[in-house]
Amino acid sequence: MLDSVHGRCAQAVSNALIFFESFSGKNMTFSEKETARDVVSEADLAIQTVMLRGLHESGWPVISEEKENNFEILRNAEICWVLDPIDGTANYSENIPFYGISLGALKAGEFFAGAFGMPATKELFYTINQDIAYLNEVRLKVLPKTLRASLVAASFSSPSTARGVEREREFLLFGSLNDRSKGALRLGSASGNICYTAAGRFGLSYGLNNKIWDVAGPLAIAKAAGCQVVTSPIDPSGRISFVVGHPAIIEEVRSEFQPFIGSI
Amino acid sequence: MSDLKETIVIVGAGAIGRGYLPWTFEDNRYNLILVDQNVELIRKLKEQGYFTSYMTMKGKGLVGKKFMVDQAYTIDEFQTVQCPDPVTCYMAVGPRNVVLASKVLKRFTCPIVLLENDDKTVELVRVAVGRENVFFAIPDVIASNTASLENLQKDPLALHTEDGEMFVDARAKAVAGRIIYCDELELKNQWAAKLYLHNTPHCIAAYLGSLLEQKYVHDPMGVPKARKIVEGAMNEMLRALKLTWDIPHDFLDWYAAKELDRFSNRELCDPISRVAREPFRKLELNGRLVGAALMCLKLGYVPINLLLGITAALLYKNESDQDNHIAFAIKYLSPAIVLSYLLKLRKGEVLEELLSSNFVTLVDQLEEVMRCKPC
Repeated sequence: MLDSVHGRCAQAVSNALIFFESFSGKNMTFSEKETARDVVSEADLAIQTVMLRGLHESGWPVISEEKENNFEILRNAEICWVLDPIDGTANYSENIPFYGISLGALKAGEFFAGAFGMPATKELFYTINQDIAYLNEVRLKVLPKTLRASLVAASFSSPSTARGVEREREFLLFGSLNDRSKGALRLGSASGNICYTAAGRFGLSYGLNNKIWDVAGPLAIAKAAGCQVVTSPIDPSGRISFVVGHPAIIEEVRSEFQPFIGSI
Repeated sequence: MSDLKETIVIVGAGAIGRGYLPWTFEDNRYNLILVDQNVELIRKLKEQGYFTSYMTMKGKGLVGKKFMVDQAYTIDEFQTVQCPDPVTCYMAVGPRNVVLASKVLKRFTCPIVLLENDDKTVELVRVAVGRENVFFAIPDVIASNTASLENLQKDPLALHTEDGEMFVDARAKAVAGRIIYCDELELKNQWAAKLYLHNTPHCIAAYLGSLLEQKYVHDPMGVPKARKIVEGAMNEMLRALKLTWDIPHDFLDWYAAKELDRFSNRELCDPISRVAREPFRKLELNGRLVGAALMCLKLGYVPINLLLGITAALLYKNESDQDNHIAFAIKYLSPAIVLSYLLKLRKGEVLEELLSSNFVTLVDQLEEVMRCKPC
């Protein structure tokens, strides 16, 4: 049955990608949520409705961005689906192709299965078991890289969760990584950042106090691709910090991330 | 190793590299060094010091020949071995492995001849070794990476091959033997015929054989409904080549007829798992299946047998194949996603439309073929 979790996960995202095509060319309304960069569209809500219907059939609970959630189930449920109908909606609202449909399955709190589909770039990342992941037809296998030879991708916390000195520390970390690498980017989709790291395009990606739906599926994909995935515990509001990359590059940044993630 | 002889290095000791290629060299003139990533095969070659290749010869049946192996190395071992510049290095490792395998040839200056069934590999290897004398070759032959039980009992390293022809870019002329060194135009014509009149129907035969749960490529050719699809695909490609390429039609007709005979050759024992391997590579946009179908559609006709071949490739299941995730994709992803994301067909283009809207019908037609499975 657990094998089919990977299948169901990929299937749900595949079907949602087809459904997403029905929004092509339509004028979309985007509404602001907590902050200017936190937006939602009709597509987010429609995809969530369609996907929830399918996921509920499995009998396992679902955590999803555009609904009320009880994060306790992340720890308690045998399997828990974690959905972000569109990760990177702000990008989508501006026709920037870096966004996608993100679904993960946590098994007893572990990142177990994942699928992330990017309709604008026709890229589908998915696990077929805990040790094997693909981008479309190509196997993902992360290769060693140094920080100096890498692009780094960051996902920041929301301004409401990190203020003052804490916020400044986040920007200092970003600046430091930017100066010691090929450059640090903030692209607006944590799922995309992690999957591109699994594909070797970024040497390192990290996120601070991100929502669990932004990262659940992609962290399973990154693990299956051979990345080292280091995370903080998931807090009661469903937030998590993470750093992902080849073990060699994680070693290079270990001490800098300890204040944010804890011991690595 | 005799110092009086020149040395030939063959990287890739499989069906072509070991089974066929040594037959083309002038007898007793060259020392043979075999390099392969298969550690077990190299161990056995070192231990035994020879292997037997059986060639199917008209009127004589299978004729065996013992080839002495002067040295055999794994790819990693060969990296560090002292070896004078060979007269030529041949590579037959599969298109996906050429870049990695070419690292062992970087130190030499002799010509590198690629028998890779993909002309794009020449540029890849030129970049990898940092020189220009890398050339394409077309072994017009079907060779198997194994042999009949009877011959394997005589020599566990035995293989079977046809009596084929070896076309090599004339700029690589260095080795003497049964090799046809040809100019660019001749090579181009031979490659068009090989790609579309050999590779295309050959892999379709293998995918149909796999659906029929058969072992060798000649097996599906004995099932009338499967044979009809292979012949149909051959005719579709023949028509496309005649309309688009400036190649004498009598040559193409002769080539097509010859190929159908070869696919049915029971003596080859050519495993379906070899011919059908890496289905995603065979389904590449410009390749032998999708590329071939696009060519026919551009010319204004629907190649129904090629569509069946593409569908059969999508249904291929082999747990030991590098591309076995094709089975996962077909089971869980919608056909439209497989076609546009995995095969890179543009949404709405004719082939994408034909395949996605007729996928169920095509599968039904293949199931009809599968019902003809011999007991």
